Amino acid sequence: MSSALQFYMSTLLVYLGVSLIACWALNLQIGVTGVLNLGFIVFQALGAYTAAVLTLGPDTSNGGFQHYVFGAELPFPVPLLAAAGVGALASAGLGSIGLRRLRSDYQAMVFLVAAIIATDVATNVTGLVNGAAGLSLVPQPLSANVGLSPLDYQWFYVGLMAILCAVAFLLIRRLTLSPLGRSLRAVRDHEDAAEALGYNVYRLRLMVVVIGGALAAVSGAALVEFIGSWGPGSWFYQETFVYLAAVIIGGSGNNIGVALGALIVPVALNELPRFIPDFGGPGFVDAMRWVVIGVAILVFLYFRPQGIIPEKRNRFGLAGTVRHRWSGLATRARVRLGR
Amino acid sequence: MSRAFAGIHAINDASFRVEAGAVTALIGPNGAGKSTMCSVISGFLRPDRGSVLYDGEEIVGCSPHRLAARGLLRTFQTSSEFPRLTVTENLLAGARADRGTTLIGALLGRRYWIAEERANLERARVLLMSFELLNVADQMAGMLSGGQKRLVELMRAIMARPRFLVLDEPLAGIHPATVESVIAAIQRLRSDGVTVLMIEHNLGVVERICDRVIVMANGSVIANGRMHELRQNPEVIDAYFGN
Amino acid sequence: MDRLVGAFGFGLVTASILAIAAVAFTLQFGITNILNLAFGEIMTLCAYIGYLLNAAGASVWLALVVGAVAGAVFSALLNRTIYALFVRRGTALWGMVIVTIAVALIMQNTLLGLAGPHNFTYTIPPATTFRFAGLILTSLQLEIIGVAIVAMLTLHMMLRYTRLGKAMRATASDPALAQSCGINASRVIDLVWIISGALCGIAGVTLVMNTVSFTASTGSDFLVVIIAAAIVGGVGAPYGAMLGALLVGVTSEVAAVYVNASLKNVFAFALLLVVLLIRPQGFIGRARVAKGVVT
Repeated sequence: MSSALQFYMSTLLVYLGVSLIACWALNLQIGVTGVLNLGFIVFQALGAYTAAVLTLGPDTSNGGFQHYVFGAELPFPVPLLAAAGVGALASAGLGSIGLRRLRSDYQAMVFLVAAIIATDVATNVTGLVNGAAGLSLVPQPLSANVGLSPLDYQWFYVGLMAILCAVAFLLIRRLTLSPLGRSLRAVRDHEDAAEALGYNVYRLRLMVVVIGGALAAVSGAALVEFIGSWGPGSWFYQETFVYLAAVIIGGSGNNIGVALGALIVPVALNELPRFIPDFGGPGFVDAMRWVVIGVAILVFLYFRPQGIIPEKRNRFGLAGTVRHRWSGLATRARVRLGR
Repeated sequence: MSRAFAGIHAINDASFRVEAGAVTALIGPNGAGKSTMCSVISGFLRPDRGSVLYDGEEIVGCSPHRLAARGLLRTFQTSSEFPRLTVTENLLAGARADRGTTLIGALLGRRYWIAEERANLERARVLLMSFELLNVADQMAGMLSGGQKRLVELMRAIMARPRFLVLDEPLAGIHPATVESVIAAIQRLRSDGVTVLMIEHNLGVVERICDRVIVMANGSVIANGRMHELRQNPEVIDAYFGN
Repeated sequence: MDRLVGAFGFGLVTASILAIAAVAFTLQFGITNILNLAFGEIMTLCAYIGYLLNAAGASVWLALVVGAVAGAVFSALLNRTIYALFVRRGTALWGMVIVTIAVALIMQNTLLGLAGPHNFTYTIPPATTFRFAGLILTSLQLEIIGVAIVAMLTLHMMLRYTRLGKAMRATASDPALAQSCGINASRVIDLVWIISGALCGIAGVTLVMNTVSFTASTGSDFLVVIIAAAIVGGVGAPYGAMLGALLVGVTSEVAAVYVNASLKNVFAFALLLVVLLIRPQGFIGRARVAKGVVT
């Protein structure tokens, strides 16, 4: 592979990693628990800003050309972890108000409005995260320590991303496979019945909003540490719908399906315009990309609402034809509990 | 003396007491306020005034999930299975799983909660067998017939080990051949010491399995007693049996 | 003091436009249970149709009428074709929100792609300025307030005194029951979309009459404030939406003068959060239970 191609491929892989974490997190909220978090992108943005200001150092550095709060220069994993913390706290704050005694579609509205307002704040309060210009020149983590060539560093970062993805996947997998995951799906399927069985629906929803918020923040932090800049243009509220489309198309409720969705929508569909000649007026191709996303959502919701890879059915084999492998009876087929 | 009882002053000053350990029927014409009463007792609706006592404690204002944790379970009038969960999963969702349903427990992994899950699964198997539904154990609950969904909901409530179970028309839509298994289940619950309050229209069934009957009409309790006593009550005959 | 009164005046104009939009939005939601997030895009579409007429030499008032008609026709068609299609397919409340989002994305970006990322400007003859009691308003602004008052009064009369109004309220509380009482629910629903669509069109054109220029995303930007007003007033409650519009409109314009004009939506949101904390069902709304969608 030529080094230009290697650069391109490794960058794509990092984007894929970011999308994977984000889509799994959104799937936990939307696909598994039924919390329609239309403000998801805010938590990714918050993570990115947190990581950026904690990596950049005080805002007098770089000649003081950008203004932001809490500037610090912390060693690598710290900004990432701090981003997760901030993402969790912020989503707990918004969730504790927005999820309260409201119908699920009202909740969606509150999150959506919050997302649009957050962009307003970040753009117009200039001292916060440098306003509309956004933050730039965020140094890449460990780049000074590992002493790699730029190309090798790209692959090094792909490795870091792979580790993050693996951790996120295992975390979400454990959650969704457990009895807790079953409770979450029960809340999704019938909120009142779940409440009547003793599940604190509000707390369960808040829990996935917080976990998803923390993961979204991690994905944002990982992205900004790689690309080095972040501004209001990177997280327009409609970006949530890209991830939403990925979840719906891939197969909501199924982590593998969602991973496929992450490959199709945020990565492939975003990259495709690079390879087709620019036509129409300025911004035409970009506008059409959104139209395609909208049409894809409609087509899938109509013809295949379960997505490309639907949620798996958990067979326990109580009937006897398929015995569960630990049901205490003879095992004829190996079926695992949960997914 | 009574361990579990509920007294209520709601709707139109309706007031009654449910005896602990007995099966009580709540009957009355459509629109009498029976389902509303169920929702008030189980915490889904807040009465404008009045009180509901459970175990001698005021429970108005308590959220439904708290009441469920204290053993007060209910079923719904319309089918309310978890459609995208299998029948077995529906039942497991009803069972208490103190280890596996906490965040820490879930993250600790299968080894931490598997014993509890196995025990619940065995209970689910026994229950499914008694309702002859083992053959659909692995089907999505949303794909079942209306009557089967009602059974799933009943079994799910039983899995939660209720002390006081409120059933909103448990026999509606149930296949006649299966009615007996529901009756047997309710009788089994009573012999286990569970207090049952059920809304039911089939008076034959009420007479067979209910110890006491409460008659409601227009939001008020108009009679309360044993079935054969009520058959003599002119007010009840007028409001219910008459037409 | 003068500044406060002046801001209050602007607030009244914003509140008037907002009231038209919020009432329509809440009416759609309250009666059909569809949370139509494409509402802002229909506003933009009507404003754009108004712009085409205006640019061809028609007065803004003609643009307003045509905008209203376009809004009514388009909304009713959207419901009858796309939304009804999904409802028949069994898409639930929650899925319908996603459907409306997709429609919004398609509409906004189609307009953006076809018309380009420009600022479109209405040609409006210079207005005379009126001053009274410290308020400074142009004749155009007064006319916008007038349009809103007429629209609200008409809607009030209709909801209160006509058979259609009663049928609408009955359908909102229980579509099946309304149907069994001899109300033709699907006709009522069509009329709801026509009426709310017309209000949506009026809101779109008056919004641009007030701000003069707009882009492809003007409507969806305004949707934030509409949602805030609707939730503050109590979703599904038309009178609540009017009250919510007044509160949100005045708060945001006063904040625009005293704090920062670009942050006025933030104050609308802050008001929304406060209301959600104190009274989650909004000022006038009752706690509603989830029901099926009706088309």
